[in-house]
Amino acid sequence: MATVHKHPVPTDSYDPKRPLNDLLVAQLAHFKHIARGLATDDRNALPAEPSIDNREGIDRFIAAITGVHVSRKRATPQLVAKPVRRTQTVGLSLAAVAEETPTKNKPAKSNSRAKPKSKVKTDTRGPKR
Amino acid sequence: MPPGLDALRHIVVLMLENRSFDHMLGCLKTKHPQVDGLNGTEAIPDSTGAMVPIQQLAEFRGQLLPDPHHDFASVDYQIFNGDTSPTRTPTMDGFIRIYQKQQQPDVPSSHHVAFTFSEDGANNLPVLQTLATEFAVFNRWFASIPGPTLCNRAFAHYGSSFNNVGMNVFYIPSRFKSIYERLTAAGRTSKLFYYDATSSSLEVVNLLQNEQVMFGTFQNFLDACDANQLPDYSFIEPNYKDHADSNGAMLLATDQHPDNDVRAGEDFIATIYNRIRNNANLWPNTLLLIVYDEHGGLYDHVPTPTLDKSRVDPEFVAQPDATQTGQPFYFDRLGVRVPAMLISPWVQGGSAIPDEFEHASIPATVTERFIPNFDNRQRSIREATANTFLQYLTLDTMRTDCPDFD
Repeated sequence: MATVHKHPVPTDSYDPKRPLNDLLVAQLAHFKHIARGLATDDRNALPAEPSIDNREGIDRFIAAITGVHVSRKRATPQLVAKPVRRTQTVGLSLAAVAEETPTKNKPAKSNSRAKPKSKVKTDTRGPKR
Repeated sequence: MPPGLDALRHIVVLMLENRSFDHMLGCLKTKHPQVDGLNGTEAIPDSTGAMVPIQQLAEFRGQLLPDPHHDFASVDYQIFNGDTSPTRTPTMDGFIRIYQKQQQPDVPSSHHVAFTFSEDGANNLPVLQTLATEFAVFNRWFASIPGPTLCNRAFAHYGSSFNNVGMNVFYIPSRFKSIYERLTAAGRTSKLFYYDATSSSLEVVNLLQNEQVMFGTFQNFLDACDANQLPDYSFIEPNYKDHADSNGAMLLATDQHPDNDVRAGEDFIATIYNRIRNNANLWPNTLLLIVYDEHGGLYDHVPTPTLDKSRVDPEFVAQPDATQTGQPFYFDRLGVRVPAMLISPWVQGGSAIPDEFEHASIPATVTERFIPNFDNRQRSIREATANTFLQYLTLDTMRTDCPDFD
C-alpha cells in the first residue's frame, strides 16, 4: 500500500497560554493534593502552588512533583538491592541463634526494626523488574 | 493456537481524549459499509426543536470553544435529551441542546458538536481513518461511564472507577490492584508511559505516587521500541498541553482533547505506529490498541447500552450528589461510543468488530494474556465479565501490505 501522508501541523497551533480545559484543571487539583502529602523537605522544594491562570507556574509545579517521583524511582533499586539477600541470610542465622540463646533476642529484634517496612516492601518489587 | 496469538509478546494501548466515534470515523460508512457510521441523513434537535443535520464540517481546531461539557449530568442529557422518567430510552439527541445551555446566549457554534470529519475532504484524518479501514475497527467500543475522563480512564487501569463518576481525587480500595501491579506481582513487565514531566500522568494519585517504578516517559517508550525492550504491557498517555521542552522547542498537545489541534494527535498516532511497524523485531509480536477515553460531548448515533445484571458490581453506586442528576447511578450503563481500533499484521484488514467493548476490556485482555490464572475475586465483576479482544488475531500468515505514514 502506498505511503499515507499526514497533515502538516501549523506552528500557529501552538498556544502555551491556552486556558486550561477540564482535564488540566482536574490534573492540577490532583497534583496539589499530592503535593500536600509530600514529606516536608520535598514540599518545601516545590514551587508555590500556582493559580489556575498561571500556565507557566502550573507547568513548573507539575514537573517538579513528577521530578520528586522520578528521583524516588532512581533511588529505589539502590535502597533495596542489598537487603533482599541479607535479610534471608542474616534473618535465618539470627533466628537460629535466637533459638539457641534467648538472651540474644534483643539485638536481633532491634536489627529488624531498623529496617523500615516500606523498604522491605520496595525490596521485593525491585529485583522483579 | 492461531500463529498471531502464539507470536504475541507485547500489548500497547494508546488512549486519546474526548472524541466520539461518529465525529472521527462516522464518515467512513459511505465507502466502507462495515463501519457503523453515518448514513448522511441523521439530524438532532436544537433548543427550538429545529432539526440540525449532522454535517462533515469539523475543523482541526478552533471550533469547540468552550469545551463541550461532558460531566455525568451533561452526558446524561446528551443521551436522553433531558428525559428523566423511569421508562426513558437513549435517544442520542441532546448534544446540541445541552451545548446551547452551556453557552449563554445561544450561538450558532452550538451546532459544532454535531460536526464530523470527512474521509475525502480537506478535513479528513489520514492516519486514524487509514488505520480504522486497514486493520480492525470496533463498532461497539463504549466509554465505561457516561461521564468525564478520569473515571473512564480508571476502568482502563483498574477495571472499575469504584463509585466515582467525576474528576475528583479518589483512592483505590485495597482489595483491587491496578493492571500494572498485578503484572509485576506475576513476574511480568508493564509501564505507563506519560508524555513528559510537564504533561505528566493523570494517574498521579494512585499510581505515580506509590508505584513510580512502573512509569516512563514517551521518549522512554520510543527508546524501548528501538532497543527491543518493550514491556509485556505498555499504556501510553499523550501530551495534554502545549508547552516547551527543556531546549525551548514547541511541543503541541497530542491528546486531541477539544480544542487541541487534531493534526498533532494524528502525528502522535503515526509516530507510535511507525515505531512498531518499522521494527522487524516488534511488528510481528505486538498488538496496538488505539482508543479514546470518552466522547467529549460530541455526537454519536449509537444508543448507549444498559449492562446485563451479571456485569454489574453491586457494591458500587454513585450517589445523587455525585451524579448531579438527582438520581443514583449503579454503573449499569455504558458511556457514549468512542473510536477504537486493533492494529497488528495478524488482524484481518478492513474488518469491523461487532461485539460490545468498554475500557474494562483492556485490563481484562491483558490479564487474560499474561496472568491467565488470575483470581477473579481480586478484580471487579465488570472487568471479569468484559469482552476481550485477542481472538481477532485470526490470520494464518502475517500481512505484508500494511500502511506506512510520513
